[in-house]
Amino acid sequence: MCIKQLTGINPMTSKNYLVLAVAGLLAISGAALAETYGPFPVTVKGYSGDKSDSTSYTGQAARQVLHNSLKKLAGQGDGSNTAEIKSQMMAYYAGKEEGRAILDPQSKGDFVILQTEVDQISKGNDLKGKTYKGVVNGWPGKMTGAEVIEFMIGKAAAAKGGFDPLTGYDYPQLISKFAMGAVFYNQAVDNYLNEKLSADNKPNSEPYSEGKHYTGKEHSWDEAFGYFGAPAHALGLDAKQTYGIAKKKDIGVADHDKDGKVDLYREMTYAHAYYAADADKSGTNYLHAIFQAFLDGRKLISDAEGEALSDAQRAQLIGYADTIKTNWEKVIAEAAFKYAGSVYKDLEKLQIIVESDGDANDAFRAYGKHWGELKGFAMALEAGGKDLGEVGVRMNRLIGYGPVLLGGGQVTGIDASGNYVIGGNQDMGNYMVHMLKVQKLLAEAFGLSARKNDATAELEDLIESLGESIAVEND
Amino acid sequence: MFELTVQELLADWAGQFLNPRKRLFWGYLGSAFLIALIWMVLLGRERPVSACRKLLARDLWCSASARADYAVFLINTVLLGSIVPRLLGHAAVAVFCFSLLHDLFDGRAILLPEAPAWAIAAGFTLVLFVADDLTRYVVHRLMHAVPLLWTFHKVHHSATRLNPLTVLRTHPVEGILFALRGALVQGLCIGIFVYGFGDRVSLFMVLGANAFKFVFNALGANLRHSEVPIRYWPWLENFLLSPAQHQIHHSEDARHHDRNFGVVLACWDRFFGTHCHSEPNQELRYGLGPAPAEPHSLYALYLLPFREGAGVIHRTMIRCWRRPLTPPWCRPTNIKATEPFMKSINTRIPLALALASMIAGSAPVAAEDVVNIYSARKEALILPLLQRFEADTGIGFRLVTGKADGLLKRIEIEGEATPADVFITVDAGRLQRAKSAGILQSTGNPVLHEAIPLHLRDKDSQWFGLSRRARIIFYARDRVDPAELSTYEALADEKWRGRLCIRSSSNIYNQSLVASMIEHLGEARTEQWARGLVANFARKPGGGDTDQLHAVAAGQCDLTLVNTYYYGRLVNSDKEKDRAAAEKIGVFWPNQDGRGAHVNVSGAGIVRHARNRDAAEALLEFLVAPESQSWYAEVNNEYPVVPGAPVSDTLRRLGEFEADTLNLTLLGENNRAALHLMDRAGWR
Repeated sequence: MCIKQLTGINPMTSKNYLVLAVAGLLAISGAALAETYGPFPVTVKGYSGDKSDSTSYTGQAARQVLHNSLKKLAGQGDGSNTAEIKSQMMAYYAGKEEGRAILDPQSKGDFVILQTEVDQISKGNDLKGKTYKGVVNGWPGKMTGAEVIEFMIGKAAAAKGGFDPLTGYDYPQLISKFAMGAVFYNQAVDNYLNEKLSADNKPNSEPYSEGKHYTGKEHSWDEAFGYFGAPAHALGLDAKQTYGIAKKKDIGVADHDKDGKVDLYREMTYAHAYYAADADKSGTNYLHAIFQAFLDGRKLISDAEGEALSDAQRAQLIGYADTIKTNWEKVIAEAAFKYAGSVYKDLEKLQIIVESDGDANDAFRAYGKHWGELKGFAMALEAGGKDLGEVGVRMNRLIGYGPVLLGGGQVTGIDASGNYVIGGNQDMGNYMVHMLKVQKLLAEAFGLSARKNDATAELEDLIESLGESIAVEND
Repeated sequence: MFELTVQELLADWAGQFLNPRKRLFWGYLGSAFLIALIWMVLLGRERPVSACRKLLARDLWCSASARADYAVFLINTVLLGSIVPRLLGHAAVAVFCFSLLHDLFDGRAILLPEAPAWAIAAGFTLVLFVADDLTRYVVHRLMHAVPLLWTFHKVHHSATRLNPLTVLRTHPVEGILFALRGALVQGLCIGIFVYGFGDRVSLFMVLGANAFKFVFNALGANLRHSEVPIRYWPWLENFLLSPAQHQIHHSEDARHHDRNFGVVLACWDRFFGTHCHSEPNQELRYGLGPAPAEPHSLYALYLLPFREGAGVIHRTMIRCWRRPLTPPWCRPTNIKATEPFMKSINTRIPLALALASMIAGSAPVAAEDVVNIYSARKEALILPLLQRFEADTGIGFRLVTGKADGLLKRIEIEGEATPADVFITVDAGRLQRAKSAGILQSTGNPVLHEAIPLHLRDKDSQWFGLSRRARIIFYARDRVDPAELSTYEALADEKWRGRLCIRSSSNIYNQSLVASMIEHLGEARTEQWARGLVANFARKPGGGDTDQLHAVAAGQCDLTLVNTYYYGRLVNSDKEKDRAAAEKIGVFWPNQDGRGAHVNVSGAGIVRHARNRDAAEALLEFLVAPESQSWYAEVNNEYPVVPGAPVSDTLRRLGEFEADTLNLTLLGENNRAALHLMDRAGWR
């Protein structure tokens, strides 16, 4: 078949072929040559086993698919299967049983996924044991992170499609976004990139545990990486490609080892890596900044060749950890910012629909979904173990415990029987102002720059077009 | 504090001449030079070489005054470059204004959705330009009128020779005030326009500058601070200030003092009586006269204003000390006067807390001994009655109050899961909407059917009127003879041209009135009537019913159509202003020789998915009992629906009337037709 038939253009000259071939080779080699997270050599002193790669974060990858599956289940209640759905959700949240099927991600068309059961990635993992143990101020009832998720699971199982029209709660979104923070973000930034970086905790001069082929520091670092959720070859991909993997768009991009299947351990985009890529589509560089810091940190540990890290090495490692923590926090704040903007737009639509006596069902459903995402991410920010202080207080007050309902009012608490209390005089117009303030607060407190769905972007565009305001011309 | 680097400073200085947003942009200076040259050659009969020499004269550009201008320009760049960015910026003002509007108007307003973006951009550019010009006038005038401000503004007027750089001869304190003014004006304009028009707002720009400002600058704005007395025709100087007019503003001559404060437009000076035409062959001396002795020294330019300002403050304080002014807010606290207020607070706080706890605890739940109510009527208007209901029947209640249309949609969305048993709202049109949305159910309850007249309840028994209100004519007693009034139809008469105030067509009360007219007159005649009515509007429809009454009392119009209870509220108001307004207004019952006055209801229905149907029926039965009817109607300044129930004293004073007995179901059924008709008639 000639080129003309293939492309519909004139046959190319030999010079053009050459240029095309070189460009193609460069592109392929660029992607292939980009550093991946692992393999890294085994450096444990005295290790005599047959392992040659010390990289290991299968437990975290297993928890990523547990989380994805939990979210999937949260939307499957139909009002009559409450007990069954709750039991299934708890199996993925708190259980460690074998034989749990991966409900998401699953193969889709030619995007074939290697694993179909959680055990194929790692056995005996749950989410509950790793959930934030502090009190969550953003949710009524003064519950710990695990209690909040279990409470939400109970409510989600009883709601049709995971949505409660009486409160506007979208449980798949609330559970997913909060769990990402309360498990993944919390474990990574508050445990592995914090406590486990001290000299005596999981030292590099010893295996992580008896007989393991990786050192204490190597595995701690790997575990933090696993919670981030990036594919091991993300450095060779751009934001759109990394984002597209989670959407199962192009197996050619995901299948780095070219075995025709996507390995959920090393080739999938999950959780905050997905949201980092989403923000980066607007020009930021969170994904690669975090990934590069993970990579540099891991190389530093490997280069220590199984010896305890010196103070200087540890200081450098803590520097990488700080880069990761700062950018990770920004990724979550960027997502909350984005959904505050979505909620603002939804309120605007609902206002028009109510005034024109239109059908509000779909718009209210979208509003609940976006609010769930906003609330989930806002609560996730609190679950990092860092005291947000006034920022946290203001954020919680502005967002409230629930979306403002049509006609006014929102969830203000939970009674002794676990029922929501709806009250207050908050109306939707005023709640729009709250969303503007949430965006301003997040942008200023966390130094955001992607700022998707910025509700005041039009103001800023105009201000920019007016130029600087120093006009001291004396007329 | 002074964080500018040398590089940034040089860039700022150069920017004044390279940035088209700046007055001293080289292009504007060039155009001013050309305009001056042409003026001098053509009208001044100068030779081009001679004119050039005069324009570039060494004694002008190297004068002590000019050298002071250059020094101020250089020094201010350092001072203001560090201070101004720390001041209130237009971004902060814009966001504040944008947010405030959401609160004031309960959400986002999208105005003129059909208007093209270019028209919005043109409007924004024009409004920004006009607002900027007006506020410059105001601030400038204050700089002259307020002694303390004048001490700083004098720096500008101390220039004895004028050149384009004199425009920047400004004391830093004055510069800060100018920056704040700019931030306020731009911020407010941006906030308001983006709130109302969203992403359709943009600015018409030329070379990155506001198009109007570009034209102003390109047409020789720099000649305002020059000694070339370019003047316009007198008629044109009535609209635009010429360079010669601004030179008069700088004149040392006492007869020119406090004249021509404006920048571009002359209307502000004309309106406020400070306008002065230029004079042919005017030869002016500039500056402040003999004092200060060395007006161009750095001391006089920067420090003397502070010293003089301190003197002004000192003298003012001495005057106040000798002749103390006691504005109301400085008077000693009148303890006796505040006592009743504090007492009222003391009694109201516990009451408010009790109410709040009651409402907070009013989460809708389903149980056999309660009824869950979604009410568009405020809790203060219904809560005491519900408490009485609970005491009489032993059935508890849970009350959710909110906006009528929002609550209706909420019940719709909640579907089968809704906890609502009873929906209470106002206007038959809205009750019909609830019925059409399928959120109500029928009841054959004999008590309700017997108590409520047929025409005041739904024909399918899905909703029932609870109280009546009439939408009738209110007129200015001093300008309208009631003998001139007769029917709703007659309000379209030409004699009322420009004399009628009314709410917008989005208001359900007006929609229901028009719906009733459609039923009585047919669609064609009603549309003809609506067109006549629109032609008689004194102003654009808007505001609430109370606003219409106040407009009549204030003389903005002579007639209005308002629901009776709004008038009752004015009559019984705590505010003297409201009662005084009510005194000026007369009440007229239209169509008394025909079908009677248009009547509407507040009403309630049992929600389709009610779980406590029996309790819901018991509540409705209670609400139509004579005692409840009397209380409910009185507290709302309305008429009972149950015949024979007592009417409040306030309403009794309005007199007996014949009410239209049209079945109110028809108001809802005709609602959509009424909306379309009003739109066609131009009733916005």
